[in-house]
Amino acid sequence: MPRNPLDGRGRLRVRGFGSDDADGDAEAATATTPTTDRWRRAWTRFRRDRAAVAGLAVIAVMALLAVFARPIEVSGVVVQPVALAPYDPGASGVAPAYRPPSLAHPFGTDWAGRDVFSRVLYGGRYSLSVGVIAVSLALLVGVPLGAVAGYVGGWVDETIMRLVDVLYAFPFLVLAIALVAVFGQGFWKLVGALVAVGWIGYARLIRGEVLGVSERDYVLAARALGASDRRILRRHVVPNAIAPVIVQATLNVGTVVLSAAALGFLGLGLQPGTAEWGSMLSAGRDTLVGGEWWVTVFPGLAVFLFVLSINLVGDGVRDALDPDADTDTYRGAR
Amino acid sequence: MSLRRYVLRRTLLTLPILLGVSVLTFGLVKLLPGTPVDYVLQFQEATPELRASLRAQYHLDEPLWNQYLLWLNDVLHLDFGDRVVSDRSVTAAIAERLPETLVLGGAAFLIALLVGVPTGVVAAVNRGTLLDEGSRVVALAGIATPNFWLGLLLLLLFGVHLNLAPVIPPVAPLLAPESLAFLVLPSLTLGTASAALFTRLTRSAVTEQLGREYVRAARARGLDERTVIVKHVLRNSLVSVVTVAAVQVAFLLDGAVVIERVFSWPGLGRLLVRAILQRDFPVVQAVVLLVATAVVVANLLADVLYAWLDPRITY
Amino acid sequence: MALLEVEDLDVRFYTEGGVVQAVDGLSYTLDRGERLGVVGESGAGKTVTALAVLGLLDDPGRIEGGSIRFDGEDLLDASPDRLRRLRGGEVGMVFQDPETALDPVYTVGEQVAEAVRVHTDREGAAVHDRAVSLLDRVGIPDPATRATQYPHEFSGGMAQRVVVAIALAGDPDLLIADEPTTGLDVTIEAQLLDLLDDLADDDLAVQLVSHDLGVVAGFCDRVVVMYAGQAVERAPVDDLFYRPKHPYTAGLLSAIPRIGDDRDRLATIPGTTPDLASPPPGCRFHPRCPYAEDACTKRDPPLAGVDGEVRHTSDSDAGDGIGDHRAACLAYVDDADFDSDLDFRVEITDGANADGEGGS
Repeated sequence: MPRNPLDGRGRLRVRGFGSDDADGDAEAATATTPTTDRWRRAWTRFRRDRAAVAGLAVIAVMALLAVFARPIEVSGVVVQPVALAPYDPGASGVAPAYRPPSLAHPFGTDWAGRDVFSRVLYGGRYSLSVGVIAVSLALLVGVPLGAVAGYVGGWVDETIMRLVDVLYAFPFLVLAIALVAVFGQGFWKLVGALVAVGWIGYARLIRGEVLGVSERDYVLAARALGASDRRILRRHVVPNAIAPVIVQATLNVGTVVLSAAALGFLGLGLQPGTAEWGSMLSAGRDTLVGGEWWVTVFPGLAVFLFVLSINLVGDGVRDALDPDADTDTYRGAR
Repeated sequence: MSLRRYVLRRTLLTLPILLGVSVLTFGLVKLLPGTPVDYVLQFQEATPELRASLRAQYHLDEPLWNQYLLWLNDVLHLDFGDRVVSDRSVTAAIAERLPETLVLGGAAFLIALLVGVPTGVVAAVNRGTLLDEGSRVVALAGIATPNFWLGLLLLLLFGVHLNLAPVIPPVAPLLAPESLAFLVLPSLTLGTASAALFTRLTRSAVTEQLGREYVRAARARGLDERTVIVKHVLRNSLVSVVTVAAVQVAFLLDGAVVIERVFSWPGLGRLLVRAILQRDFPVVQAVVLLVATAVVVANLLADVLYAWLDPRITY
Repeated sequence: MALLEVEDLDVRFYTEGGVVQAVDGLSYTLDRGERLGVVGESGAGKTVTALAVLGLLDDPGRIEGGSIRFDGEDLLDASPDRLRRLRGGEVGMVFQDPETALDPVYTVGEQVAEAVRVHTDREGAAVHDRAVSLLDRVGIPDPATRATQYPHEFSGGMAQRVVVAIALAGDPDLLIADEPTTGLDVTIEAQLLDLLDDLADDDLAVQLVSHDLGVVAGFCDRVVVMYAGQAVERAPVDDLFYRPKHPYTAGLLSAIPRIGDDRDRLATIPGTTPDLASPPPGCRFHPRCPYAEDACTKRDPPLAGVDGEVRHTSDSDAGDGIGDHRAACLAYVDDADFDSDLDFRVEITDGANADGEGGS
């Protein structure tokens, strides 16, 4: 091998390039790009995903339809007077039973002579509210528990994670069914059952993220600067770890709505006869042989449309928050 | 660490989970208002002697932890007690229904695996093409569709309007041709969402592997694309597929409960729902325990498979 | 005729953010048994060039112009089958991170054997024997046993040797090594370079891509310096280090920290590498060059000879005579409107007397 010119450090010295005034201006004429808030950037990315935006639009429309389906009264005061649904969803006999779709009844009538269209519109209230409320409450339980478990570690972590492991062994619906069996039926009991089953996913997820983030250098730096644990959690760990949780929560609204409908279908949801999408499908099943397809198609279509839209939104949120992640990465959470 | 020791370790680690599952299942029934005695006596004449003997039978005068241990002992001997609604043993009722659910679930799982995984692989390899985009749309629809709605629609179409399929299962042994023919619609319905999940997650796993450096290195070695995909990429993606498969066990069990209602299939799912409506709690307890155990065992098997597939795990 | 002739290579990446000109008009040659170094910062296009030779560019990247000739054969025209036989056959490649370049689920022996099977006529036990002997050749102790082990059971340095063994399976004429020592400790790095040196002595040509000037200085016969997708200087190794002609090269050399230096800060080249989707007009280096003039913003300098004989773009830049030294700076282009002197020079601080003189 030829003699290495760089052999012997310090052997070569460059003069004249600017190396002699090395203290000076390392400030070159590079334009500094202004930094934007991460959430704003995410929103911009989200807006570019047309499917996600379409999904969001559908959900917004469905929510509006649910709110304005029938008037809402709070302590006797009519808060919302609009009634988009032409008939009272509970009123039976407004028309002959089992009429196929027509101008007067766009979705036909069911076995009790009720207008299916009104029932589907009104049913949105239960489904959407169960979805949003159950997921929100599950987040309120799961995120703090998971974050604490991940950050504090030790026996706290062990206990919470053992509990999570045990709960994870029960299939989602089966456990919800068991809880309904024990605690009874009704709106809030249903929500309670779904929360009790749903929080584990978020706890596990955020614990994993917290564990990953806690090792990062900026957290170590904050600790070296004397920041308290709680402050570190709040300002550094949680904001960075929260993104996958948001994605999962969005997708879970769909899962919860599906499960609530399934429970309604099994007769374990709200009171029988309530205008709830799942229960309506249950009635449809009972009278299947009659061939009255409209009682089955339209409520199910509503569920399908909602879950599809929320999945599009969820995928869009995932892409917006972490554009490098592949859309279908399995996150191990419900 | 050898594979055998690893398996032993993982098995031992699942025991506390199974214990926890049993405690939870036991505790669930204890949370009910009243006692099992009250429920049994809904259907029978309530004499003081009967009440006393039932109390003894359910060990209701023992301290709570002792009740648990006695119950656990019974369970380990596969004795789940008698049904509330009749005198038949719960174990017998479950034994009768278990094969039905197994066949339904097994068929659905196979369909999901055999349809979903190849589709995911093809989509990943042909990323960005119409084939890929199309399969993603279909998979998304598959996940969003409520399985009971799909089942009802299929029944309406094929059973009622086209009259091609019976609406209720035939009265025949499980493995008879008529029964298996009937199974086509329910297992297709049950398998759809799982197939969609397999497609999405396989596609993701294969795409991730395709971005890895060893794939480029393999091509740089002069291997043809087929060998690169089949020998290297797929083998590395198997771990992800096993993960998905393990999760599908719980997912399919959930689905079976609902699908069995749609198609009137006499399996464990129908037993469970019926038992809840009839307040037959020994049955609910037994089925829930069984299902949870199945999930734990499935996850254990998945763990063992990982170790076998990925040499880094037991290192 | 040179073993590898790259002429006017043009590689573009079509991304969402625009078209990135990763390699622009790159030309160089490599003779049999020669060792060429390709240096530059991250993003200069060194790896892209290496991948382009073997046709391994991933999707958004495409070769849009120029030619690549191996042993006289036009590679850009070659059939996919021919390219496949070339890879791992006449041209072997060694990657940066050995741990990720090996498939984790197959044994090391199997992966070497795989390459042997593809590129030789051997079958059965002969394949295995050849694999073990290749592992021996690259200096892996107890090769028969180690062949049954998995990549994660190897240290970085050993794993890199395995990668080299795989590259040798097809008895290549050219070995392209892309940052082979970057992930390794300095001592391991030295061992690996010794191995490459040993192999290169057997008439194996080596194209060593690196951002480490020390590695290149010790190993290569000739060097190409790349900046922002272009070649900015091309010279025999001694000429490059003792008599750099391009300001960027001088900058790189001055940035090497030295023991005994009494300055307060490490020298750097001010500024950052340009955005390849919209590079600066004219000479790409001009925003960071202390010698830049108005003319530099208007004209992209060709790779011109520096030894008094000024050559113009009409000559083919690809073929170098052995002593050829070229730099892409307007200071060496006769009819450019460039007035000042490039007044950097290299001082040697031991007794040796190489005369370092820069300037036009």
